[in-house]
Amino acid sequence: MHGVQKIVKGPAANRFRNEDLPGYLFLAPWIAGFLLFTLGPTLASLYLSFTKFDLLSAPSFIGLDNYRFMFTSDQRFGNALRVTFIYLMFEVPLKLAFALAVAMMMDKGIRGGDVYRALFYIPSLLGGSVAIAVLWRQLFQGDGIINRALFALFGVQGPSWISNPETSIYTLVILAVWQFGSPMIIFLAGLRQISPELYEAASIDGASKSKQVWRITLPLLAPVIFFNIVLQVIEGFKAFTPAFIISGGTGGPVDSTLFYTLYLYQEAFAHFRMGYASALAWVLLVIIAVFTSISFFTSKYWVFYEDER
Amino acid sequence: MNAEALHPSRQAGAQKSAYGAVLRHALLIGASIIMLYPLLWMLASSFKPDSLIFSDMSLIPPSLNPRNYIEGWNALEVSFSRFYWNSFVIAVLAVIGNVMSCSLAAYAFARLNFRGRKLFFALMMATLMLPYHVTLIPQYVLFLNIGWVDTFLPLVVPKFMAGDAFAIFLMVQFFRSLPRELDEAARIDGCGPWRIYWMIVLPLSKPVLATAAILTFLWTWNDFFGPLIYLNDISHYTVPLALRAFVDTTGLSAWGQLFAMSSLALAPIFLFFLFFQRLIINGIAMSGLKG
Amino acid sequence: MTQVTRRKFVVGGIAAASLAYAGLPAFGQSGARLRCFWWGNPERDRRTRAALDAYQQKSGVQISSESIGWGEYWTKLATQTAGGNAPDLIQMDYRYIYEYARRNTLLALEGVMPKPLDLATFSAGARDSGKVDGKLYGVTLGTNSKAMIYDTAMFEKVGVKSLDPNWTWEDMARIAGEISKLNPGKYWGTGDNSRWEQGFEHWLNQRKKLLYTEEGKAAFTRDDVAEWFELWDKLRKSGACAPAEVAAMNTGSVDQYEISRGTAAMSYANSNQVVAFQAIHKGKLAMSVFPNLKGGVSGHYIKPAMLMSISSRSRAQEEAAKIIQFMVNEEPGVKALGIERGVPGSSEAQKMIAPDLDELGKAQVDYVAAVTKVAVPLPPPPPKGAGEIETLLRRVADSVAFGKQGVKEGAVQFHTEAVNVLARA
Repeated sequence: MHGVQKIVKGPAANRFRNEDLPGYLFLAPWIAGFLLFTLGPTLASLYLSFTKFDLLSAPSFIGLDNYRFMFTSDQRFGNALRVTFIYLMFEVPLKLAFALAVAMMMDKGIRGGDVYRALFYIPSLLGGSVAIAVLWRQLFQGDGIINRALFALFGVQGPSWISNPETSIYTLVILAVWQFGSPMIIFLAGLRQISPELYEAASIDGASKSKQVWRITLPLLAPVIFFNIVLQVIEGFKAFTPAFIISGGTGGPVDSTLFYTLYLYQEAFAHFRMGYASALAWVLLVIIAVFTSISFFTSKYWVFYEDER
Repeated sequence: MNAEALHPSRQAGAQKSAYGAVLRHALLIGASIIMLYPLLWMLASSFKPDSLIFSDMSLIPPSLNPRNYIEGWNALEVSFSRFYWNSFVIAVLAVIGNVMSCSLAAYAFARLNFRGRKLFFALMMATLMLPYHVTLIPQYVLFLNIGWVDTFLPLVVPKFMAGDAFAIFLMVQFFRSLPRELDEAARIDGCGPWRIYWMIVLPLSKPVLATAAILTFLWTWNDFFGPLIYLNDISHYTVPLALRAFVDTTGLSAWGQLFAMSSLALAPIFLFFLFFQRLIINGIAMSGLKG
Repeated sequence: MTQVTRRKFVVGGIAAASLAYAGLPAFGQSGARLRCFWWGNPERDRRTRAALDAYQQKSGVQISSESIGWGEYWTKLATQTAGGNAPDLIQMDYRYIYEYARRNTLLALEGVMPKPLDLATFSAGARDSGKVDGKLYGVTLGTNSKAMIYDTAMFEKVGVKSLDPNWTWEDMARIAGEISKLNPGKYWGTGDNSRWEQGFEHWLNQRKKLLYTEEGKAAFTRDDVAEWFELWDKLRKSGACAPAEVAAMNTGSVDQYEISRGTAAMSYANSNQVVAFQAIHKGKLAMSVFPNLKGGVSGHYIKPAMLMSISSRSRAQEEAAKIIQFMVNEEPGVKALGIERGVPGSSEAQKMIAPDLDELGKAQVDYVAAVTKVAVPLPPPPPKGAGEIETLLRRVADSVAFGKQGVKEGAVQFHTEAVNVLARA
């Protein structure tokens, strides 16, 4: 993503040749698709966010009422934001740490690497399957396997993780961490780009394995880590399926797994308030945009690009 | 005496790394079991009668009776061969459309110097942030008005319009890593942008095109919401959509059949991933995410 | 080499595209083709398709079937309706019919009655259950009533061989308490019903009160809610009722009820669902009316388990009405559907299916017949926003059960928010 600036500042910008026409021609499918399938519907939803629209009859314009209600009286809105932030705070770092650890373990040609990678990718392929919903509830219920294992290993009796409002969100965090396939693939690709000579040189200098990780791997991987963070944060804000399938669409117990998008979905399709749901969507869009800009701004201080020396 | 015995230090090193390998394998196998548990559970459940699925957590089914598979395959009005065919057609068309249209857009962003490029690129990346529930109803109305609802077109045509920002981004990165001298040489030979794209950039970009193709296939195959909204008649359903017709939370559900068909549904994408993963990693690695 | 590859790519693309075209559904539907949409499962799909096929053979009219699970059904129906593309025949739920009828998306059926649609053999209760604002918007495909579903083996263990239909709340507390002692901390007598809006409604009905007024306002008071929460709080504290953590597992999906999860001997649902509960349960299940109130009325009423409605924008309303007529009155249609959606509303249709009933089918017919004798009048249909109140009660009842707030605070919260929801809907 950092490429944005560089494309423009790169040598291409200095060239005198005008490539407007070919540029627009190559971009034509994208521009058409963007106008038709993205911008049009998005602007339509912006308009809908200023209306009362119950899906079944025509929308009626109500000005800023939806936004006013959201920020003054809607407690579920605040709660949904809180739930989403808690989820993000745990899900993003844990998932990335896990994906990175596994990727580092599998880097440098371990035998059967293909099979391991494929096995580790299975959870991501299972995605929003109904089977996962049933299974997850069985694993994390009061006398589920998790608690039986905890009892056998440590002699503690755990709560019914999935139905306790204090703990239910963490079962969704675990679900997300368990589906670490895509960042793992990206990390593997990043690791492959680090030249083995660097490690050899470090070994000769007597640097320990852990020192090599801190001094070589992580700094050189910083751009990839950054890329994964941005992607995961965006995906995290948009997360919908896990909470939807596991709580049966309720976001319960006591709204403890009411993701923002799940609330948005409930308002739109269960409570017939598409106007309000559109307003919720626009607020989410602004929040994601703010967070993405913050990450880009702070990245200057910790993401090190080789070609910026 | 072999060579290693003459070099005790090297032998020790080899031993140490052998231990390391064993440890790594042990860790990876342990992790695999955790990763695989749900799959095993699903497989075991697919052989159980419905009355046992919720009370019996055992991973070993009472028998290997394939009833659920046979009955599940034909449980709906049309058989699963139809659903697989539908999924396959949609996924293949999506792959073709996505690879062609995204590579065009990516070439423009990576190599052409035109006004508004920065703005377009930013807009393109911003589409990553859109929550899809927002655009759902307006999009539906649009497709309905052009008469595309209950056909595959709403699921396929947008793929021909470079809607996949992630793929474009990867391709932009990859194209930028190709040496510019090639273009310049071609330009001097009188090649226009189209021929440079077609004769030079595309042939050199097979790894990233493969990556985009594979990821598109996987994502399209698993997509559920699009087919749910746009496909009506059961004979047009895709595999993930058909699976939702097995469960009625307010009434009877064919659980055993659901798990049997879910297991089968996983097989093609698992194999697909198993065989093509090297290409994915290669493609991403060579695109040089480093920026 | 690269030439070949690229040519292959293009040729392959065209080949795939033309292949796909062969597999593509036709553009536009021919005028005579009707669309029928329901939520269900393979068993219901088979039966419905058989009925539609029989009709198709008889009349030559083409009907396409669309079916999906409950959770996705309403999203899809709302999207289609919003787009003006609703199916001709729409399976409706009692809970949603008001939402859809009030927004003029369903056809008032008076125009197609008594010909082709004739409901003369329907009981008044079964017929009127599809009415909104005095007009009929849906024909019941099967009737049911709320029912307590229980595990017979557990009841026998505490000496209850057959449950007396006149049992009271006190009996319930006693039996549940005894069952809870069999396997303390693992298994309870009763599931928690404080979180189910229809359970609360039954409790109100027993007291000759209502949940909603005719105008769609809240008909209950804070004190009613407090008393209801108090009742369950006591059961919970005495150990008769499953604790919050166990109760909160129940998302309202059949497989998540206490009785299905093997955590309690009694759960509260609808009579036609007994088949679904039995299918995933090892032991034998039976059903009963909810506990009685000494000196109160039964509180049960007969309601439609599922309705069939016609879209107000259907271009084949007459034909659609004929199909409904075929499903609810004519022998091939009635027999194909059987009792799967509940007990038929027409007395004639009940006779047609009687010979084919299995044990659970008979139990349903008997249960509905027994409840009919003592039933209270059908309350006004759930207003706009009722669906939201259902989730609201679950949320507030859970927070009371978890001890996040007291019974009184919970009652105030539920009442206040319910009033707001109804005002905003």
